[in-house]
Amino acid sequence: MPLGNAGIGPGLGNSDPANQLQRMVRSGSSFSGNESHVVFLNEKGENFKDISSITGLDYDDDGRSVCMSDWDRDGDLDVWISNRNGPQIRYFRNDSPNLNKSIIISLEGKTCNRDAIGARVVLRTKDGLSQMRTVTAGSGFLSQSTKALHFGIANKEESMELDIYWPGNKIQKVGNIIPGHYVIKQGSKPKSLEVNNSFEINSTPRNKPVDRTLLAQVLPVKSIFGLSKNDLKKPILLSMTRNDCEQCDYQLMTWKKNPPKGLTLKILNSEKLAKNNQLLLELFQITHDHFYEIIGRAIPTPVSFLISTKGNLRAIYRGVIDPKTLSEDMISIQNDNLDLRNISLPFEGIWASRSNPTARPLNFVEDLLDAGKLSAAENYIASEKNTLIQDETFQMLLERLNALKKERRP
Amino acid sequence: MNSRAVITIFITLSCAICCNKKKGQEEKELKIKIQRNVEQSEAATEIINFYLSELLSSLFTQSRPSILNSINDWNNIAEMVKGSINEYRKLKVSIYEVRHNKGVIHVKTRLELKAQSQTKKHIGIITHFASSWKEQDDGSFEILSIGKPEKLTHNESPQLWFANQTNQILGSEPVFKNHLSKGLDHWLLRIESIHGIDAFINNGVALGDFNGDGLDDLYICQPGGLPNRLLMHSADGTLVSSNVTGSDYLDHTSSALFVDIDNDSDQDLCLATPSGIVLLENDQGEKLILRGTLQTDEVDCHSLTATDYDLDGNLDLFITFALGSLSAANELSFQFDDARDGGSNQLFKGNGKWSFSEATDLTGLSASNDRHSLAASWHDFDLDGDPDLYIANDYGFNQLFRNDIDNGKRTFKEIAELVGVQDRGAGMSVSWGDYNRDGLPDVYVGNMYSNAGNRITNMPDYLPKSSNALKKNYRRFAKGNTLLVQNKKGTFKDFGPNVSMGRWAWSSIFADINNDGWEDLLVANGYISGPVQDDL
Repeated sequence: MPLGNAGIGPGLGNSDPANQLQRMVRSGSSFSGNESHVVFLNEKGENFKDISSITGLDYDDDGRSVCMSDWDRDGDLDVWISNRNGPQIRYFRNDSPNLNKSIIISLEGKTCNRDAIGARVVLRTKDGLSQMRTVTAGSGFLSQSTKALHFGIANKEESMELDIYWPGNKIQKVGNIIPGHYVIKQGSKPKSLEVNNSFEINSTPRNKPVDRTLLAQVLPVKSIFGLSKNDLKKPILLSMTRNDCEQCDYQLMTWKKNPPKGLTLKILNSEKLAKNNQLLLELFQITHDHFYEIIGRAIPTPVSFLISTKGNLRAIYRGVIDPKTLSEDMISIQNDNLDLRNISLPFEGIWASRSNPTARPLNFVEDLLDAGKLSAAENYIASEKNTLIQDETFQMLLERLNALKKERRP
Repeated sequence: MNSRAVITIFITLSCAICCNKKKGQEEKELKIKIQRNVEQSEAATEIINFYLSELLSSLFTQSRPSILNSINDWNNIAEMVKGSINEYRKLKVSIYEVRHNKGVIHVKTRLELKAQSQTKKHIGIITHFASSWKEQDDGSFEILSIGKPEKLTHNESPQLWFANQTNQILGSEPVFKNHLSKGLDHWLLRIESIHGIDAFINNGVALGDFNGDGLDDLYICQPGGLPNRLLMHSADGTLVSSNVTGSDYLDHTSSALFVDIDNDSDQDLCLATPSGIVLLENDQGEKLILRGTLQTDEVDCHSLTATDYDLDGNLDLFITFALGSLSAANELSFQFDDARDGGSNQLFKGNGKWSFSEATDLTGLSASNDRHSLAASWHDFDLDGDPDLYIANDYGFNQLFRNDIDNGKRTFKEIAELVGVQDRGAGMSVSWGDYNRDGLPDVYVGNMYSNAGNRITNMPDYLPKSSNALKKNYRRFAKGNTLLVQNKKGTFKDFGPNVSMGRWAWSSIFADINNDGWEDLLVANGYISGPVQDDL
């Protein structure tokens, strides 16, 4: 039951509970979290027993996909579980205390699809209890397990028979199977699986990504931070620190020794602001949160905004800033032809979608209004009118502002 | 506002939205009243839960309060866990039923105990019990009685069945250290939401032998702004990044499949993204070549599955969608227990040579194609030789489409109600198996289990003016997973509550984990454990 969405559509209508839930999660709360995975043991087809506590699988990191495969080729099924929390993936090796054996079958189709997806294999044993497995691609939740079919056969030693129902209902009978992993090509005899492992390993490890976002969206912010033309003669680094913050102290000390060149450094302290200028503190948070799908979460300090001479917010730094990265960024942001979408990401990759995200300052004004910062919104509109007016919903924004102002008046 | 209050309001209001046709002041008052009663009860539950945890942790110790000591069955449980190693002790108390009667609060609780004995034996105990409480004038609670432990499950094992070996096989890989070791909440603060990352996003995993060496490799889907990762299975079992190019898509990818689309004996890759299904051809196990993107009508993609429904030898692809783009235009169509404003799922028929044609309408899959479909699985449930399709839908009924030939034409007929597999609920996962080895496929459906949901929906003043049928539906939404067992007539029966407590379940699958020939069930669960700890 995913109640949120990828910025698409309204979710559960516009019902308040859904909105409240979304706000709550974006601001960092839990919801049915800290649970632990469950394993039910099949007791000979008669009942199931919850054995989670002795499996070692009962982790509580918000699991999603579960994929099975005999990863270590010892005949039992190992487990991959993906998570919402870190680590995003966990591997669990099957160490279950038994001496049971298995038969694993990889199929290759000839008249049917090569993957033999849809093929059903029935394992017949002398006790008359058959087992049935089907080759599938995609099951569970967003998961694809191995295509190899796995049959546990307990401690039976006798050879067994398989009936393979290839898609299209062509039946192939295979006799005298003993425990092991086999490849069966349609119409051919089983062969033991051979592992032929040779591939080039990526030898160039990527560098540890720098903990900053060089923003894809170029947002004007001069009115928010009251920056005059004079202030903007040089780029500005607006840095938020707090007391009792080792990293903040370290950052301030390094800047004292070696102030960053070519920019104006403005240091803010959140405790001081909380006393003297609560509004600025809130605007800092709103500006930060505007770019991410979060609301009001504590921002790890120090956190710094790089503002260009045009008054645009161009980068957000978390933690102590690497001086080399900062000086590179100052050169980058003067280039108008940057591939902003890719430069804003910590890792390289390919896009399937063509659309390139651009800043929508109007959404930022909406954020200000949502937070009840009416005069800041008014100032912003006055300062960025030329940009905002190009947005087709500008008139609606003004109407919303006026309505909110009216509500405020006694 | 904490999560408890929100779920309360969520369930209450969702229902109010659905069923309270009355408008105006009266309705508003009613809602507020329900809310307050439920909230008060939930606040009491929280405190009682705390008291019970304190009380029951005495089971681990030598001396217990007389209220426990006087009941033999509790002493027996204490015998099993006392003297266990301190740091391995774990206790979880979950209240799933609350009744208020003349100032006395009757609660039903599930207790889970975990321990390791001095001889390193792992011990697990699950039991249920009743207790009753009275609120004191100062707001504290006094226990009046505690019942016997019932429905005892006792597990012991000399070792854990699985060993978490993630670090051993992946820990030194930079892709893991810098990227995958960090969860969604880390990246939410670092990737602009405009790239397609959000707090509710779900991304899948696929296993398949990409380089044809006989070992399954791993493909990990990621939210927008983070690259999907193809990791190769090396001979020593470790997982390493490779030089394969063309796999690191940055679009939100809900689901991926390793499948041989062009039947040339290697594993191609298909990705479900908001831009459509990305088709990538495996070129010698060295690179991936983009063969095209199947445009979809919706963007909130979830499950991607492959089958050959028409048995022509070419694989077909089926993609499901949760939210629908039309829901914005029609707010009223969302109904919590029977939502019909979801995105339309789509079937793409494979024609060979990387050509596909849209076949949703042609095959009858457009019938009731308006639900929030989170998962799907193809399986020949009636053993007639062609694959049928089960779809798990959130907020309502699931669907089973039987694959028929009608006048020589492949047609799907929706028969979930007919055969008893609608399993109304918050469907999130599908897995087929044959748990009782009777030769007839059974299906396990992942749903939501919620203690809070069970408590609230069972309260007598929960939706006092609504019909019993509707209340039952709401209760069902919190009851958890369902195992649907097929009989010889081709219809299904619910196995019952023994396999339903999978918590907030996502992938819930069949797998024989101890090689005894009987398929067990594995459930991955947990919705959102955010950085703020104020959970239910």
